[in-house]
Amino acid sequence: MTDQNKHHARRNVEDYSEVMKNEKSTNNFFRTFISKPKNIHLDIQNKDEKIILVLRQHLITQLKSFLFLCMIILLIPILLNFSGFIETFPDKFIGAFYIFWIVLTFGLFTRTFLIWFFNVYIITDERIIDVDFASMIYHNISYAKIENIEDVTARTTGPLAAIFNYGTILIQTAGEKTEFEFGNVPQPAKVTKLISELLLEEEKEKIEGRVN
Amino acid sequence: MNNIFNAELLDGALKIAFVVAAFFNLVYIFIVSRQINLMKKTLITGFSSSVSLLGLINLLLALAVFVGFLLFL
Repeated sequence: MTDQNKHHARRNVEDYSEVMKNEKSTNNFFRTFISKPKNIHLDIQNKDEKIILVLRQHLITQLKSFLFLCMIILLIPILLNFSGFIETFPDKFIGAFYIFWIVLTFGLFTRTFLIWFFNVYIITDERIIDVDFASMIYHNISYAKIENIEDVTARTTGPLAAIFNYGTILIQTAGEKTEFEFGNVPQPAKVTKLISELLLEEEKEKIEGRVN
Repeated sequence: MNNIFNAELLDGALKIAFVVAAFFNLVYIFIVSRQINLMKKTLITGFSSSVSLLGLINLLLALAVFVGFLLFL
């Protein structure tokens, strides 16, 4: 087999993965479980690398921070009003306070949404990638080759996780970064099964000499 | 006389507090818009242009508030 043939011998994920055989390709990039996405790409994606699955934290896990944000946003003006403190201000400052509060609220919601949206875990046919934007001033991107994965554990804790079927997946690798954590992702059992199918395929490729 | 002085002092102090708060918000939103650019370069989706717009709206609002406080308070 020539090098070029070897290069193109990587099979489609549906050919070896039971999980992906039953999953439809989606164009909705707002979902938390995006299988075989057509319109999502990475800047570090290799030319022939295919994104198989994109995961985000389950929406229900964002409810806590969303409610907390709503509470703070509503509570502070209400408290200031009821205490009569705000009435001690000259009128122009009362208006200015509410305008500032609305702008601040809009900014906080945007920030919360963006961190959720861009914090993704990606499984390609070659690697697992953790794109981590923990805050607006910190970001980290780490990846490991599928062949370097040594151990995969799915952990579901709490009644909410059981009801809404989400959990944390811990992936031990032999690479530079030894542990990956896919936190609060939907359908953890499916994800672990997919990773094990990818690992098996990687081993088959090595044995059959399809890809170096 | 004392009351007028106190009212002016309160006015001045409140104006400084509002302008400083609006300035810090503007700096923060500016950092956020820089980060948005990095985010959409890292993860490329069909939503990228809307994300930029969201960042721009935030920045313009923060700028308008800062300038408004500086000029009209």
